[in-house]
Amino acid sequence: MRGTVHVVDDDASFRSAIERRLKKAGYAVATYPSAQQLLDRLPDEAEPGCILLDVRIPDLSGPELQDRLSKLGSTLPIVFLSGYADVRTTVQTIKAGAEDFLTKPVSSEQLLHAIEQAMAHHEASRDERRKLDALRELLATLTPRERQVFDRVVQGKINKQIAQQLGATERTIKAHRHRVMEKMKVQSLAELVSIAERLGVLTGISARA
Amino acid sequence: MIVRRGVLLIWLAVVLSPTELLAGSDIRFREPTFWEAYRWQSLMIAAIILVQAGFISLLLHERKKRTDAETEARSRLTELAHVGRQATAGELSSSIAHELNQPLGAILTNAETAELILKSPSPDLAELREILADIRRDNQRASEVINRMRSFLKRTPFEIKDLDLNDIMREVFEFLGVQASSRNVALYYDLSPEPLRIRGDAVQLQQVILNLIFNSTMSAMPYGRAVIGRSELDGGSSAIISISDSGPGIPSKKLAEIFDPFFTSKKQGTGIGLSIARTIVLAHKGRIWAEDQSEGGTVFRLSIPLARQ
Repeated sequence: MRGTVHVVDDDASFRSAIERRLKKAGYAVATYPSAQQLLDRLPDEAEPGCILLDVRIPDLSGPELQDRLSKLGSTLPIVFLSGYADVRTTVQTIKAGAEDFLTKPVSSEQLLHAIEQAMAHHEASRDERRKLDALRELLATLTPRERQVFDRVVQGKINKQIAQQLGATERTIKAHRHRVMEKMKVQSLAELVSIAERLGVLTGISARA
Repeated sequence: MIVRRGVLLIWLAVVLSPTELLAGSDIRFREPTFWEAYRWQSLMIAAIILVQAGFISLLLHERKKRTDAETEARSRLTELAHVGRQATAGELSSSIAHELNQPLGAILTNAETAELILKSPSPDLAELREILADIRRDNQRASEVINRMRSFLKRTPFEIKDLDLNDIMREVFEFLGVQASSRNVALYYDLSPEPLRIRGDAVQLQQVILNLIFNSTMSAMPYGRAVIGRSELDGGSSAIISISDSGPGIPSKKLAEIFDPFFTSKKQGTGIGLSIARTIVLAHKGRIWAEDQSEGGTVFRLSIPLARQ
């Protein structure tokens, strides 16, 4: 299974044509005649997938659906497919994070390429998210004291300064520091800093400081 | 005097008996001719006929001049309406593109899928049949779009027919749906439940409504986001259509000028849309006017007399 393509288009004939073609390419296809129907049964984000969205659909338009989805925190990539591409809409949707903007009639080659890329992006972002989740879990295993030490270490403080700030001996801090490295499964200070950066810990600290 | 003398002679002949006739006199009686008897009457009648004939031919001439003028006015109107439609056609290009690309897109995808199926060692004929049927249907759809455009752009002679104004409203609003959504303006319409039977030219009335909507869409564009069309009965004698927008409105001293030719407040406006609209409405014995709405924006109204049952 190569993932699910969610096709939102009010044109029944176009929906069935696209569905046929994508199924031949090995994708699972879910079709929705309106934006509301997609919102009513939101696709499972855990599965690889993407949304193929018409700009002009009755009631809620394509760009409006895009906006709603991003407010709902959806990470599903959106490929726009429009009967008529005016510059304004194109720019607007791309700026809002659309994966691609195609115009009908679209060749299968172009369409499949765009979908493949969208799927790959989704996969990569899901991958990244999984890694971040794993790191967050590790970070959560630190005791409050260890977390204090962690915050200061990644800011580049030396043991002596940390000991002074936390009112502990340098030896205790050294032991804490050792345990933090162990729990976060890193070998070097550089790795620890990179994790802190990716989790947004550093910006949090400097904002507080 | 001939008449008098004739009568006198007859009188003399009757009153004076032959016995009392004076010696040496004799009676001569001659029947007066028709001309002698009715000369004045005949002359009068001839004169009246002549004068009447003169009048009739004068009236006939006037009538011919009037129908000629009417035909000319109508063909001018047709011409003008045609120019107006061509101008709007340019703006409609996005609607046309969308409506054509929808079926064309489906056809292309279906054709490519069919090719793919044919390449497989055992092609699924049932699916191929289905695809071909879909392609045929989409093809018809595309040609309907083109026919509709052609009939819209054709130089159609002014033709009065029995119409329902609601049908005209519905067609225009649906036709413009795409256009408006690409400009981020919502179009709504609300039609009277009863049919609005009028007599008029469908294409030209469509153009009036189209021009009004365009006008409202333009002014609604950077501000509000809705253009609302309404149709209703006004008493039992006329139908009213109103198109309202949520734009900045028109200064009240300009409200009377906006229908004048070449009056425009837009940078790219030609100023002929509303004046064509007024010409067409007048040709339908109707009225068109604009009002400021208390809640902001402008409402255009046009009233067309209902057809007599």
